[in-house]
Formats: sequence, C-alpha cells, structure tokens
Amino acid sequence: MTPSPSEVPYGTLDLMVLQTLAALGRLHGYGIARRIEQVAEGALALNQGTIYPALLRLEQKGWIASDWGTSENNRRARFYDITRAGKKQLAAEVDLWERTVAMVNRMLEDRS
Amino acid sequence: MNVVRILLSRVRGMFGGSTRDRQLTDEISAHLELLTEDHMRCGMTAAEARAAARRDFGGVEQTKERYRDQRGLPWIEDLWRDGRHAMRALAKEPGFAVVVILTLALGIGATTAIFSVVDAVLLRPLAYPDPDRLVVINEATRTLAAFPVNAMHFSWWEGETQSFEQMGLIKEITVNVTGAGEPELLSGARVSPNLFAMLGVRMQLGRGFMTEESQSGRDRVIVLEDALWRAKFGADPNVIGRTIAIDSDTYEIVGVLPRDFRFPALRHLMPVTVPSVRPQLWTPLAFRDAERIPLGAFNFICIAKLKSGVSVAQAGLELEREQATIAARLPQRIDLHASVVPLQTQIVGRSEAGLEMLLAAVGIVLLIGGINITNLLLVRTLGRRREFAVRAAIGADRGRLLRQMLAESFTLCLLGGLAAVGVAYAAMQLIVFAAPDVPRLDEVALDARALAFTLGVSAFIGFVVGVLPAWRSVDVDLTDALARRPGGTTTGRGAGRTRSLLVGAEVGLSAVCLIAGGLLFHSLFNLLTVEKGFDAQNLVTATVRLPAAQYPTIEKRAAFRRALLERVQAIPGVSAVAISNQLPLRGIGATSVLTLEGTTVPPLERPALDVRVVNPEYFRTWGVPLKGGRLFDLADGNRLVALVSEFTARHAWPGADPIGKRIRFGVNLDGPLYEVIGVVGDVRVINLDRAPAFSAYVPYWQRDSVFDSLAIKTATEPAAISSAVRAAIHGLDPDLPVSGIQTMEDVLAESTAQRRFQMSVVLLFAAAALVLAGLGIYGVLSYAVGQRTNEIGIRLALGTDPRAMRGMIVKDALHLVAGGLLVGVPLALVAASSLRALLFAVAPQDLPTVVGVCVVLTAAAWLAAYIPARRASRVDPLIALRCE
Repeated sequence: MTPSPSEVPYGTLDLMVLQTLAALGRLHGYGIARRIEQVAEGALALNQGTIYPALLRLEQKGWIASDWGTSENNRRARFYDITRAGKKQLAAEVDLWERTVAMVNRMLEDRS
Repeated sequence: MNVVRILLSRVRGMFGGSTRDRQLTDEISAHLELLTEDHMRCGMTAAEARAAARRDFGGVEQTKERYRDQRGLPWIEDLWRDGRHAMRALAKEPGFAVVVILTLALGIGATTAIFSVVDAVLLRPLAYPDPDRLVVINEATRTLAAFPVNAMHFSWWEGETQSFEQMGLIKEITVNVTGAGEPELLSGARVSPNLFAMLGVRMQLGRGFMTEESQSGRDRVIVLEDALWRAKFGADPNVIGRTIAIDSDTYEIVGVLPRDFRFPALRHLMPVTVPSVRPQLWTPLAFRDAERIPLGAFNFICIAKLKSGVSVAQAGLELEREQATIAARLPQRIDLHASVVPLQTQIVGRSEAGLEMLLAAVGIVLLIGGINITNLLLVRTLGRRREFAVRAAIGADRGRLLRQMLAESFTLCLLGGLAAVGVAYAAMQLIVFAAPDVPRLDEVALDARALAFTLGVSAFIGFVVGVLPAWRSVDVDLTDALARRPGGTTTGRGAGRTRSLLVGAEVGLSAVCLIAGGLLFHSLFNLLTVEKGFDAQNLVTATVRLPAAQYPTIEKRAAFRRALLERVQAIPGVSAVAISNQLPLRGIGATSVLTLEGTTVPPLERPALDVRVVNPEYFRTWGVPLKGGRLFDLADGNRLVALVSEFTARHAWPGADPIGKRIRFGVNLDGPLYEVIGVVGDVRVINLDRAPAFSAYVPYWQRDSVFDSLAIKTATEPAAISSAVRAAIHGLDPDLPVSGIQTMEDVLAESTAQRRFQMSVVLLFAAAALVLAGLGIYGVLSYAVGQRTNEIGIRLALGTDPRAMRGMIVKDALHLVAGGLLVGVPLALVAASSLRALLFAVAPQDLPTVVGVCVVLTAAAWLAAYIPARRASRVDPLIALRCE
C-alpha cells in the first residue's frame, strides 16, 4: 500500500509502454523496461518494478495482451503485445499528449 | 463498457490468488535474472550485479503488493481479511464479545420490534387504493371538538359538495344471529352500499351491495366477514343465497369479504370514546325514521374519498360553508362546524403518542447500550496501545489500522444485529399479543423493511461505537507508547475524561427514561386510586339484547326485565342485582342531551347527559350513595321520575334545590318530562380517566334501552355463578345470546390495560437503562482503581484512612451522576411535555417523580461504586509498590 515515489510523470508510463510495444512488437517486462530507459538516456529514474502493475492495468483495459514464452536466456517469461484497441488508444493519447505539450509550450513562451 | 470489463477482470483476479502469485514471482525473478546478466556483461561481479539489479528494480515486495491491489478488488479482500482478523481477535476474548453481542441483540432487537409496530401502525399507508384521499368527516360545535355525523347533514353534503368523489356512512349495530348454529350476539355495521367500492374491496364470494339496497325493505341482504364465514359456515362455498335470521328478520347472504380485507374496530373511526369493535357482518344502510330527525342522532361514521387533487384543507373549507348553510336553515340558532381528517390519522392518531414514546424509550436504551460498548472498546484499546504503536512503528499505515479497528466494531455489531432478528421476532409477537387497543396490529410483520432497519441500525451503531476507540488507538504518540512498559502507571487524562463524559451521558439518558416511566407509573397509580364512585368488588356482569320482534313493546321488555331480576336474585349467593342499559367504563354509549324545562339554550349547546336506565336496586348493588331526596321504586309506576348526580344538580341548578325540577332527555322539546326526585353520588361512568359529568338515572319500565346489562353482587367468589346466570336467562328465553360475562374487576383491569402496558414497557426500558448506566459507572470506576493501584498503595502506605479512600471513589461516582442529572433532568422535563396526552392527574414536571428518579440513580451509582471502592480500600501497599 505504501506508494513508492515514482519519478515518471504521472500517467505517462502507460503511454511509454504502449509506444514501446507499438514500435518493437512482442516484448517481456524486462525488455520494455530496458527500452524505456534507453530512450530516456538516463533522464528518467525508473523503478523497473513499477511497470508490472502498469502492465496489468493495461491488460485489464484490453489495450495489451500477454502470453507465456521463452526468453533469450531460455527462461519462462511473460511476453506482452499491443492489441488493436491498444493501438487506437495510443493514437488518441499521442494526439492528446502533443496538443497538451504544444499548449504548455505556448504558455511557457508567453512568459519571456 | 470498459468499466465493466475492468471490474470483471478484477473480480476474476480475486480468485486463484496463489497461481497468479506464483506467475508474478516467476515473471519478476526472470526480470531480475536478465537484469543481473546485463550488469555482469558490463563487468560487475555476480554479487554486485545482483545488488544493482535489485536496486534498479525497486522493492520486490512493494511491487507485488501494488500488483495485487491492481489485480483484484483490494477493499473487498481487505474487508474479508479484516473481518477474519476481527473474528479471531474477538474469539480470544469471548466474555467481552458475548457481553457486547448480547447487549446489541437485545437493544437492536427491541428497537426493531417497536420500529416494526410504529411502521405498520403509523407510517405505512392504509391498505386501500389511494389511501391518502380517504378521509373521515366529523361534525363539531364551538364547544364540542368532534362528534359523529347526523344522517340529514350527510344527505345534504352528498348533494351539495364538490370536493368528494364518494362518501358513505357506517352505523354500528349489535345483533342476535339465529339460524346458523348457536344463537350469537354479533357486532356488525350498516353501511352505505358504495363503501366497499370506495375502499376498493372485491368480494371473495358473491357481490357487494347495490345502490337500490339502501331503500328500506330492500336492505335484507348481508355480507359476511371472512372469519365469520369460516367459523359459522365452515367456509362453505355455497353460502351465497342462504338466509339467516338477524333479530328475527330474514337476511340473504350475498357476499363474503376477502380474507385480507382490513377494517379497523369502529371505535377507532369515531372521535368519541366507545367500545365498538370490528364488524363481523355488514348490511346496507337504509335510514329509519328516527334517524332522519334534524339535530337528532349524531351517531354515524362518515368516510369519504376526496376527488383527485383536492386537499383535505379545501374539503374542510367547503364543508364549513355547507354546515353554515345547514345551520341557517334550522329553526334554532346554532353554531355548526365540521372537520375533515385523513382516514389514517383518524384510525391511528390516538395511538401515536404512546407508540412514539415507546420508540423513543427503546432508542434511548439502545443509545446507552452503545455508549457502554464504546467504553468497553475504549478500555480494550488502551490495553492494545503498545501493539498498535509497534505496528505503526514498523510501517503500518494509520488508515489501515483505523480500518481494522472499525472492522472489529462492525463485526460485533453485525453479529449483534443477526442475533437481534431473533429477539425482534419474539418481542414483536409479545407486543402484538399484549398491546391493548392498538389499531392495525394485525399488519405488523418482520418484513424486509424491518430487516433493512435492523441492518441499518447495526451498521450505524457499528460505526458510532467504533469510531472513537479506533481513532484513539491509532492517534498514539509512538515514543510515549513504546517507552512505557505494559501495565504502567497512568494513562493520559484525556481517555479517562472521555469515558467519564460518556458515562455522564448514560446517566442523563437513563434519567430521561426513568422520569418517563415514573410519570406513567404515577399516572396509573392515580388512576387506580381515583374516586370511581362505585364499588367493583364481587360483581359479575352479563349482557343480553332483546330483539324487537319478540319484545316489541316497552311493557313486554319491562316484564322480561322484572322476571329476569327475580330469577337472578334467587340464585344462592347473590346479594343484589342491578340492571342497566350500559355498564360503567364502557364509553359514551348511553349519552343523550340534558334539556331543562323551559330552557332557552340552543340544542347543540346543551350539555351531554349520560342516561342510565336502571332498577331501584342498582344503587345498592353498585354502592352509589343517595345524597338527597329519595330513590325511585315500582310504586312510582308511570309517573316519570329521574335521579341526577351531584355534579348535575350543582351545574344544572346552581344554588337551587333540584328536587321537583323537570327535565327532558334529548333535544326534542316535545319529549316527555321527568321529575327529579333524588340526587345520587357522582360516578365515573364513561372511563376512569373521565371526570364525572352530567348524569341521570331513570326506571327501566319508563324508558327503553337496547341492551340490558346485569351486574350481580355476590357474597362469595363471583366467577362461580356465571353458569347459574346463563341458566336463569335461558330459562326465560332459550334463544337469547348472553355476552360479556366477566367480573367487574376484569372490566376495570381492561379499562386500564393500555396505560399498564405502556407503563410496563417504559419501566422495563428504564430498568434496562438503569442497569446499563450502573454497569457503565462500575466499569469506569473499577478501571480507574486498577490504573491507580500504585497511587492508592502509596497513599495508604503514607497513612490515608482506607475509609477515606473508599469515600474518594464513591465521590467520583457521585460526580458522574450529578453531571448526568444536571443535563438529563432538564432534558427529561422538556421531553415529558410530549407525554402530556398519556398522563393522568400528573403534571409532566411532577416533582416527586423527578426527586425519586434522582434518588434511584444516586443509589444505583453508589451501588456501582461499592465494589471498586472496597477494592481501593483494600489495596495492599506492599504489593502495589512492588508492581512499580
């Protein structure tokens, strides 16, 4: 129950996970976490464990699906993939995100 | 759509937890391994890599916990876990749990039972279509608030008013029924043919009445009540078309009412005190000549149905106008009014004050019980402060602890509520069986509403009693709680003060209950010792009704009465026999109007007069003294004579001698004049709580009556002669049903039954409140003594007198009581004003009652303090100090 502080901006982790799966296809949890860290280039201190509740949340919403497979080191691992609904959701969220960022940027420009 | 899917997936997630947990563990360990391998590839040692992997991953357990929360419905799982935990904790202290659950079961059970009665009687609408449009119409004058209706006025209203869709009359009858088994005296009603349609009743057999059956001569048809049909006709489906003899006239049975047809006793429909019961048989109402006299008999019940959209007030205004029109057309100048009352109000209005009082009393008891439980929980919390401090210190969330404490009180209350259902059922049966003269009691049931009420009250109490202890248990200064050894010296003053305040509240609330009980007790005592004006000892009563067919003239009736009196007088053991048209304490059935010779007072402003048609022996039999003049005897023959009561003599002819004055009965100025020949003592004839008023007695051979009630004074046990009385009556007329054979002591008891019932229940609740408050005081004091053992030991060691020690504890108890009374007594005095209608000859602010209650509560507090005080005085200083 004790919330561990996440330095990932609220609500953006779902977006990042969806985008990662849309770009790279089927991945296990570790793969997703690594990819997000790589893209962030160290700008993001991700507690890798936090992606698992996020994955479950996305799966409950039907935006991703999971199945069991074998990892590159031959261990049983769970693989996730984006669904059609997930792609639609991603498009919608990217659109929203871009509009939000654009708006915030305009506001910040006003400041100078 | 999405919400449903998420919910479904979460509900699914609540099950198969162990498999899912294993999968998650697998997934996480795979993750960690991959991470470790990556780190090792970058040149770390195995140990460094593992540590780095864990760091990168974050808390494994926290992740799992959050994952689980996301997976299922955590609050349900927590609730379940808290519930189980609470059950375990309670099982460890069965004594505590049993006391609390029992308190709650009794408190909630009794509250539910009384709520069900209040709900069924007062709150639920009547079981007729459009119940809120049904009203009762009463007439009124400036001096008389409400009385039944005159038939001519009703006919006028029927023709002239616009507010009503329908209106109908009901007239009570009591009839001898022969031709179907034993002859029987049954109660019935003559009703307007449209009454059943107005009430939305469909017969289970046959038909209701037709409009033309309200014409004289066509009214010889009858509708039976279901119970009578079963009892008298064995539920014969072919009963329609059969005939029975009612007072020797032949009536054809045309219908049987449905089993679930509910109709109140007729007395509940009337604004006056009468003993009328629920009708068993119904005939159409065809007016008789005597009923069509202007300002004659006012004895019809009028039920009407308002047109849709017309309010009670509008209908009342219209009727007022019509009454003024009627009054203007009368030869005498009178002041005529009318009132329109919702049918439900008319039926249950008189029960309202009593039932609401019972509900308030039981609510107070439940409240006191709840406070006691709060106190018990508080004490328990104090014992567990360390446990909670430890749990908080190792990271337990306060909200979580709070929830767990509340779960315990909820569990207790829900268990209590469960047991309460049984208690409620039993208590309800008892109330329905024992409550005298409450309308609609047959509609009381332990239904879904009652169960919902139980559940609601249980949950509410669970929250109320739990929230304070729960808050206290988590609102802990950790260092303080952890530093102190278990069972250490003193606790904060705050907790003690809270508990004292709670106990003070208990004392105050029980004072309210006790004062209410005391007032009712005082009322009943006053009523039982009131000057009745007659002597009920060793009296047996019996009633017959002479049918007009066999006894058409007053001569024939008088002859029967004379013969009957002789026969009964001859029964061994009988010392005196009285006959009268009505027994005392049976309501206003004998009421007429007192018209003095030469009066100029308008008819409706003349006083109501109770006229008893009696034999000369009546006064000796009932022990009514002669105060002036002489009694009548057979020698008076046809010379019309009357006796009046002292009250009548004083108020009708103030300052003058009543002997020789002449009076008429009724408003008719052509009626026969009776000469007053004597004055007798005042008697409470209508009811014990009704002060004696205008009253007159005339010989039975001079004035007719419908009923003949015997009162037989015996030298021995009165019950033994009832069969001899029956035999004497049947010796004269074997077809005459005899009813109402009972001792006058029983009649007397019946007439006070309602007050006795109310008083018993309230006193029972008051006793419960007293015991609970006593236990509360005891609990607070003995806990305080336990906490202060060290201090007391030191004081004793320093030479304090043990008796002074004892006095200190008792003083604490008396402080609690004084505080409680200071608030409780004023509260009770305010509340008691609403009891005014239930009291008799007692002011709501009755000083002896208040003083008595204060004494009782103080004594109870002293008693409750006794054991703790003795323990305090016997503390062994050595042991107390060694505890340190």
